[in-house]
Amino acid sequence: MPPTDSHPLSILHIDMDAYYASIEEREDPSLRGRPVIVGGSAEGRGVVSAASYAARKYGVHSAMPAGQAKRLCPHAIFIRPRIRFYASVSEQIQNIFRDYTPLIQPLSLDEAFLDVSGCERLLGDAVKIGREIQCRVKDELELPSSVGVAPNKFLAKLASDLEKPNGFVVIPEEKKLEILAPLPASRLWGVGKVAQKRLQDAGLKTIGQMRELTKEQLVSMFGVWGETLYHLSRGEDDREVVPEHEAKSISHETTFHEDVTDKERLADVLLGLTEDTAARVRRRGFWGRTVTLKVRYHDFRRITRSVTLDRPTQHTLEIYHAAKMLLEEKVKIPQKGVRLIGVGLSNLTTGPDVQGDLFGGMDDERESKIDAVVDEIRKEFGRDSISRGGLSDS
Amino acid sequence: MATKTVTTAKWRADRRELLEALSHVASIVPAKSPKPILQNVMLTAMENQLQLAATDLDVSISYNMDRVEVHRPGTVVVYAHKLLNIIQELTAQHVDFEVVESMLRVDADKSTFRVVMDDTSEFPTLPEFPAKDEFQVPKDVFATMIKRTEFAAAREQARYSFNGILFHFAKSKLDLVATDGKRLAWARAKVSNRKKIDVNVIVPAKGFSLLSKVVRDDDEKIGLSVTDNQILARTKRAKVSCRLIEGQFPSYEEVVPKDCDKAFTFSTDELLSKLRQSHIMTDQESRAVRFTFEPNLLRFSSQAVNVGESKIEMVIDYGGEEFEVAFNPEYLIEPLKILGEETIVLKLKDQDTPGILEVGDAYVYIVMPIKTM
Repeated sequence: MPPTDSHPLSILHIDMDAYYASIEEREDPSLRGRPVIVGGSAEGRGVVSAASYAARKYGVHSAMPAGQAKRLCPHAIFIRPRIRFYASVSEQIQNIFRDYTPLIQPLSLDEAFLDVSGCERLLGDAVKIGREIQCRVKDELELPSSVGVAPNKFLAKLASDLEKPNGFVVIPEEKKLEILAPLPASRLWGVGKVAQKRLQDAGLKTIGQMRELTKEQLVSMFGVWGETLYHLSRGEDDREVVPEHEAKSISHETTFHEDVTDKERLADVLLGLTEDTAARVRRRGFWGRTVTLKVRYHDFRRITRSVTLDRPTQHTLEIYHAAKMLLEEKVKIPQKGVRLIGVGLSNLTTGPDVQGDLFGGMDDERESKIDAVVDEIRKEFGRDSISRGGLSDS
Repeated sequence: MATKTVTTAKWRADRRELLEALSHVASIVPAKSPKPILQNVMLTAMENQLQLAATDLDVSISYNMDRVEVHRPGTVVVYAHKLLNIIQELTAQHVDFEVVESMLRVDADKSTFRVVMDDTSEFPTLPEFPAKDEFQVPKDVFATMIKRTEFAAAREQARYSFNGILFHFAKSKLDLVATDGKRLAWARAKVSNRKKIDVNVIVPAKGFSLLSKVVRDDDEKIGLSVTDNQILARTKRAKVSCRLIEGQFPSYEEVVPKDCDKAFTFSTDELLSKLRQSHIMTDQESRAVRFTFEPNLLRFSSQAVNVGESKIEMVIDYGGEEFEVAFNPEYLIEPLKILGEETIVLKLKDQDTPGILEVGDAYVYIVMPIKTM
């Protein structure tokens, strides 16, 4: 049966096999087939960044303390990671991806989602594209990878992991329930040890068994996240492949119970969201230059509007002024109102490194102090404990 | 009007002299322009002189070179960068020019070029130097002041006044000031002012920069005159005119910190060397070099996530308490490398106050620190 139009096979997940170790083996063929461990020193407190499949046979896996790896596999060859080099190889891999689609969302140096919908007529279907990419990565870069092809991100990632290394697994819409059923519940995104224990206590080990629970039951067990689990266990996932430059952002959004038409109320909500976004930006030590306002209308049409500031900021007020300007000048609020509003900061850098201006500009220091105080109070008393006065009128 | 002016010009020029003249003149010719005629240079052969002229409408130059044998006078207009390319690549000592069949024929040794000419009547008329109201400034002083300020001006900033050099001449004080908002360079000199000139105008930085390059050893004075919207400068060989930038120059005197209580005298070369070293380990995202002052020790440190880090130390004479301040090293390297002074004084207060480089009373350079956390 051909895939239905609503759930075409269009998402690829490409996951490099033992990436760092494979690159090292490629660079030094004498390492091939031998246990190679890329990571910190076994003597110090380093951890394993990557282990070749030969090393994995000894029970070595990534994130394991290097000392422990050395005990498990004393004759392993330890190599210090060369992240910049691996990053440059990732660039080459992405260049291959770009021959097929611009919709590439890298998750790290060694894995990425690709959305190839709409490319079929030109390049063939997703399965053909996936095969081609896997071959080209092997031929041109001499690196092994595993590929998953599915109608959505969750299934594609699951698929690429099923037959590693050199795996190629397709999960079509009509097979998804069957494939998911026997898999352990821990395969679902976000099911960690605690959740697993709770499911086990309820006698639910596999994804198939989880489907016996109603949405309400899952919600009562896991809160709002229960709803996500309900859908994931049925192989349903509607998240989009977000290209990298958009993914490097921090944002908050809120959905209204009923559509909102009042711009003033939207501005108030926006301030709260900006406060959340900016607090998170500050917590993670980022500074960003691009402020994005996202609005979803009552009919689910979605628009985003962005503005790039002169210099990076992490200050609530600066972000808010930009977001409010976007709301007032770049967005038309229809009569039927708005379903969702969100604000994000992107174009992020890690260092503030703010070059001072001889002739003024916004008083950075004062803003930093206010932000720090607000952050403290909210940490202590919760996010509604303090709000900025009169801002929505400014 | 469409008929091309018929000319029969013919001359011979010394290649090196011509190359120098043409390089100066072509430096203001835009690579791209909505007015293609501006991409040309106008060559006028007169009695034993060749005049080269170009303009981008903001800045215009005409440059007279001698060591030319003019056989027949005349004027031609040709594509400036092509002609420059030709003169650069030739190796002969002399180059011969002659208009033949509406093309400019360029001959040297065994090379022959035939260059398309544009209509001379289309070429804009350059501003005339007014006979009166001219005043003079000493060449050496003025050229040095330009060199010490022009690099600090912004390039294509939305605040137009930042793209210029403030020229302020009153009583016997001459000041040139340029800033891009992050740093400010201020050169000062005492210059006799018998004509009681009082001008305060903003000049495109590239115009003054060009002027400082065309002056030669035998120029003692530079003649200047200021009209409503132009400043004209004259040396023995060149006339440079610049359209003034309208707008308010920022109040530069106010941003000079008055309370920098820590003064350090450095060997310019040593400071420059340390800064260049620290500069290596910076990038677009982490531009700062941190200066840490400890008793008798100054440490420069820089680090950029994608590049690496550096620690560079230097023994200094300092007995005060430890403090830190961070700067974009480029903003200090630039002035240090052109100052031509053996020693330089750096004045600081704290991590938020601008730093000051000083050369006696002649030069003040203020740079805003970078805030790192």
